[in-house]
Amino acid sequence: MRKHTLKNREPEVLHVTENESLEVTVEKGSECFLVLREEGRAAVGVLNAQYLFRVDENAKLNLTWVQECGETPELHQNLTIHQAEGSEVNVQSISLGSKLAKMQAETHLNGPNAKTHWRMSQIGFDQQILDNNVAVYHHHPSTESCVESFNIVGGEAKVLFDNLVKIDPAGKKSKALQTNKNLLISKRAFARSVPQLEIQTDDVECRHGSTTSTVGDDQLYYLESRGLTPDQARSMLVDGFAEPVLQSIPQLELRNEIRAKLRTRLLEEDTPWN
Amino acid sequence: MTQSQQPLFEIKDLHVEVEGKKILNGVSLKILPGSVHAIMGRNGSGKSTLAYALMGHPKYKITQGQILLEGEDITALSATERARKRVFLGFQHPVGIPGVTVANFLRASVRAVRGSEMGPKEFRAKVREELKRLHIPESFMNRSINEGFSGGERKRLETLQLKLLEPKIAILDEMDSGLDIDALKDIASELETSRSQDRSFLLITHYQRLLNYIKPDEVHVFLGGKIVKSGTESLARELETRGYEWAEEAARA
Repeated sequence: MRKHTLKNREPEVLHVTENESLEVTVEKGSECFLVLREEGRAAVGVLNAQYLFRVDENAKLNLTWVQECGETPELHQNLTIHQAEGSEVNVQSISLGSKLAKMQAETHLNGPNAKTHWRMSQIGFDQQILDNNVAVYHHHPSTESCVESFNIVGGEAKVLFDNLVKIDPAGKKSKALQTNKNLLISKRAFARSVPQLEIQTDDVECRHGSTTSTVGDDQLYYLESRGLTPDQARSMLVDGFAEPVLQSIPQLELRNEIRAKLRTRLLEEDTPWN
Repeated sequence: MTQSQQPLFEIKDLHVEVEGKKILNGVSLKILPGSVHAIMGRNGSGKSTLAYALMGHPKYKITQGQILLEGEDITALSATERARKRVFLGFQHPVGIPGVTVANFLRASVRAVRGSEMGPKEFRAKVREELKRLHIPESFMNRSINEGFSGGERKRLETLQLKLLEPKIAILDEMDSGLDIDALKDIASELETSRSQDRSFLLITHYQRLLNYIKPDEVHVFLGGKIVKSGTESLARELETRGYEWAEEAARA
């Protein structure tokens, strides 16, 4: 496994183009920014990526995880984050490519007052299968987690999202929020979300919710009645859906780049609207 | 008819079907520049169908008749095209659009309808001014359109759009529904101040109370998908006291 220590306040970008096994340390009290860009190629039949993050006491990590594996036939991502007391981790995860992508992500809140916030967006088209499993374990008291996902599914793609939050007996006064939203933009698109809560103590605050919707005719008409063309209206609706994730990316240039890629991908999508 | 009395907006013998069912049965109306017309009628009389048909909703099929704006036939135009020709529909139940902020939406809409008429600085100044007049906090600009908005807030946003888009003809579908007294006063008085020779209004309403603030030049009673009686402002007051049945009986006589 390749080991890497992040430098305080210096944003870093790591590119993953072939099988990878990476261990990252965020040292005590530091504040680090990492962009992990997975850019697989069609020639790589199966791409395996394993990441282990250790976030020490009172450290902060912002991780922007962009998967743009395009035509890579198969991608397996495995990410584990261990957070110490008082640490804070914000993750923005955007999955754009690969024909079959399976992500297993776990966050372990290993000390009191550790916090984690995941904002994720899976964008599936054609016949992609994107399967994300995210689990958060509250092992200590007064820990907080928030997992939000906003998935856009077109063509005949399938997007699956399983989210487990487990609060141990020691996890009193912990808070957990799970929100999942799926937007289906073609008739043959499919989305399945399974939020799960396992609570083994009392005096916790937990909420979860999941919705699946289509681009509404009424919404399109409203925008068109204000002068937008049907394409502009549709773009605005679909763009807007992933905006909560895009807005949370701290690097403006990267945010705009991802936004532009998403727009290009939407324009390439030729699934008939009806 | 002199040049100055040419109708701004004209509906000629309009027949409309929705999912194969006939709803409008020959609506005809001439709206002069700067005038306010009110259409009143019971639930199910076809008033909202008229509003949607005038704004080019694809579900509402015009089977006969014409819609003219400044003499130009706009019957076959899409909603987008009508909006760009400055036709405006204020919705009775404006829909929520998650993820699209009010700010982005207004910017895109003003650009689409008014082109480069208003630069970014002027746009921001105009928005601030109108937000203040409509008692809308600036924080609304970062919220998703109509998401979590109360009825009054939605109607204030509709009114804000009208003020920014500066339509020639504003069709307001039950703008007063769901409004408390204060909200009605705020919105109605802003609409009244936006009256001009360059703008006409077609108000669709059940109740007379909106017309206390926006005085109509003509009032029309809608029944069975068409106008059956027309009159001045006093007709609205008479409807309030005598009910729709009186007007409907008079029309049948």
